[in-house]
Amino acid sequence: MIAILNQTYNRIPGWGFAILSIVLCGFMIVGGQLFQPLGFFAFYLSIPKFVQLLGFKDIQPGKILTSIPAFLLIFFLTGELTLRLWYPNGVPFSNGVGPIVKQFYRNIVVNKYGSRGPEVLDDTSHPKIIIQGDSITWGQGIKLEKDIYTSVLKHLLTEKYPDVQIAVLAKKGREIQEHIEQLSKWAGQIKPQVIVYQWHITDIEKNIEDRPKKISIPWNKLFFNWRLSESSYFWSLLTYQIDTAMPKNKISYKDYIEKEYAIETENWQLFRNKFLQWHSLAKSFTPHIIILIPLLPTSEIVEQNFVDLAKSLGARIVFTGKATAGMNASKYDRHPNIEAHRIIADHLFNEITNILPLKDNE
Amino acid sequence: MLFNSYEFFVFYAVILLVCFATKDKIQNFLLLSASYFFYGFWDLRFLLLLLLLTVITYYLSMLIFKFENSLIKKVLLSVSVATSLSILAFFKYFNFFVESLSLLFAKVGIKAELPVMEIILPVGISFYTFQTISYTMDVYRKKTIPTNNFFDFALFIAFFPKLLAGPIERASHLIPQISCQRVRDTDQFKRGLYLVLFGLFKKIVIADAVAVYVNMIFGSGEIQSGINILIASFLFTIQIYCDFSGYTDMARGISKTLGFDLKLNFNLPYFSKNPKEFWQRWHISLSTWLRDYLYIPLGGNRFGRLITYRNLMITMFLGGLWHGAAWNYVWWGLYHGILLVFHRLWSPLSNRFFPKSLVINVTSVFCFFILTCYGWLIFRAESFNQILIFSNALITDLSIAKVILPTSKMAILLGIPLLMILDVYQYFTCNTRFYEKWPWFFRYLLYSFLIVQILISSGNAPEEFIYSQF
Repeated sequence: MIAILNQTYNRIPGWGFAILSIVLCGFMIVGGQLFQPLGFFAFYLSIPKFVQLLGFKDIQPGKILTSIPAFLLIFFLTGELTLRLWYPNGVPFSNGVGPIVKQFYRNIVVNKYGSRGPEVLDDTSHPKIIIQGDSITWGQGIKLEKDIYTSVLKHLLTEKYPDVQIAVLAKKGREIQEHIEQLSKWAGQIKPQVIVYQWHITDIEKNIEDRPKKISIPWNKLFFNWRLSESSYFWSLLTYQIDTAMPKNKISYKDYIEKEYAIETENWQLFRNKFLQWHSLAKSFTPHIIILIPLLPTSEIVEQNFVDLAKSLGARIVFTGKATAGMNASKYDRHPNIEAHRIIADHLFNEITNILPLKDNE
Repeated sequence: MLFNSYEFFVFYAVILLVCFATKDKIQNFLLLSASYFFYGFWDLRFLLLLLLLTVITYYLSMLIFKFENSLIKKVLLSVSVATSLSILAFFKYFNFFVESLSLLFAKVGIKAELPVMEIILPVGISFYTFQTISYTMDVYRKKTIPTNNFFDFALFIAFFPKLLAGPIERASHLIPQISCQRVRDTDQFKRGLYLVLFGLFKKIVIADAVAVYVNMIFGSGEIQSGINILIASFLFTIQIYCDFSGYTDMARGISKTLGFDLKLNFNLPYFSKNPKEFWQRWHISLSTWLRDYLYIPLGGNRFGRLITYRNLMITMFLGGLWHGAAWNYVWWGLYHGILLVFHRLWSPLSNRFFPKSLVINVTSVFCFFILTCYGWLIFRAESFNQILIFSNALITDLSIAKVILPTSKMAILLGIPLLMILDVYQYFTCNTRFYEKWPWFFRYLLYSFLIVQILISSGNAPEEFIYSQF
């Protein structure tokens, strides 16, 4: 078969290669998903010609044409099998897509506020704590709810306050405006003694769509993507790794945030006003407000501006970034891991026990 | 631009395409430009240093070749070697010498405030200065005829795959490849790609992964239990091999795809039965350099036992110091010097009482591997005090109760076993290209498995190679 392919292939003249390339480009650009297979096929056929053009005269086109699909098949199956054996329970990815991630979060338990973690079961119990936050408080990178810092904290506090109740109001990517809305919706009903606000630098952003865009490969436009993204572990990994390999933005996120959200900017004032609004709302329920900053600062300047603002309002601030540095959920997800969540819970426990008096009968 | 970074692979792909599209002479010029771009990517100021050293060595070597008068030749040789060594000494050892001197003065009660300067260490300086020295010496000894083409010589010094961490090439090996027409060979190209892949596997899957544990034990500053030190020393032995030989594999692989053949730098060093064999298998380009330009000129083994031992100790002392401006490298060099001396004393007895057999060979490999691991403990230690504390813990505190297990599971359960299988296979077949004889299915399976492990193990930021810091 290889011999026949060799003979056929060698009969294609130089312009045959040129035509194949033009066909390829045409199909890939205007063809869309319908013509992509033809484009790929044309590209595949032209590979030996490319190799010949590079100066390798001793090649056998037929051998190359048969070995490419054979290698790709073995490669993909090896990748899929290795990942399925290595991560039978899935693994978190920061971009959070694909079956490997779904497998990781397959048994998620959601509380009545639409978050993960404890909820208030008994309105009469004491004390009650509201914890608001984003993906960190939601527990991205943590498989079981019991390992998220909110649950660990409840466990720790139970020894000192047997009736303690915690309400977690968190969601991935939740920002200040939504925090205000959530607090308005639930705090009146819960009547908390402490409100914890887990802050992250992204909270100050007016619109995450304004961030500098990174070059990414439009995988979703490939004709085979829909099937693989539903079923393949290995495809998720490839997507993630190639996305990581894409050139970085000319302006880093740190520079962007320091420039666009400097203290004199309109953007900062907007966030400041929103935060003041959140704070006065929280203050109307309890004097005990804790700001939790769980990660090391992305921008020390911006974080310091926020810390100054929070301190000026009398809020207590808990930093855990140094203690949890490098404790990532996985190689592909930089959210805190179980150990880091335990440390965060410890820090919060110390702060809460400092400010909350024991009930009279304890 | 590290070999294991995405930027490098873009750079490499561009160079490869450009080289394929051009003829040898233009290709050499392009490769030289690319090598300077690669080096300048670290720090533009380094380029001046590289250029200066290249110009001085090139012209002085030409003069050495032209002059017949041996005194003038010697003077020129001295100037050239002194220039290379002065540059190396200033950039690499100035602060080390000053600090050591201050410490020495303080010990004898003299308070001297010697000036310490903020000097940036140019990457790869130890490698290319040694290459310039070997070139001048070879010209002086008439082992090499100096090239008339400055650009060829400049490429010999700056050729980017080997610029940062070797192998330390000899003019007689590399310059003819630069000057002559290169043949584009599919087999060489495929071999090159495999070496790049295998080098990346060693670096990313094994070296970087086990480094986390090693750094934790050696860098914590806390008193560690002996069992953890034992594990860390073993893992560092694996790490440094995979890190350095991984770099060399990549350097050789990249060169092969560009049509050049660099020297073999590692030949299964942990299968050595004694220190002599170890230095014939580990960092071969450095050990042969030290042998040819230091040990033999000192007299080698030609003037009796005591002089031989002295020469061995001097060579290993300087070999240790070459690695870096710190005392632990010196101790490590001296440790290997002592092993070599001891081996010379012991080998006549061992040959008489322990005739060669499989059991003796396996036992020798195992025993010497333990000694090598201890040597790496000295090399990795952050102070002499740490060497003493760790050595003491290894003897007195081997309780399993305090064990901390490494977390890099992929490296330990998949990476290291695969490496061991491939190395054992290579050892017994005595063929570095053993896999090429496998049926296509198994070859593809091997390539796939290597790539898959690299993809799974890749983190966000590439880690530096240990030897590129020397």
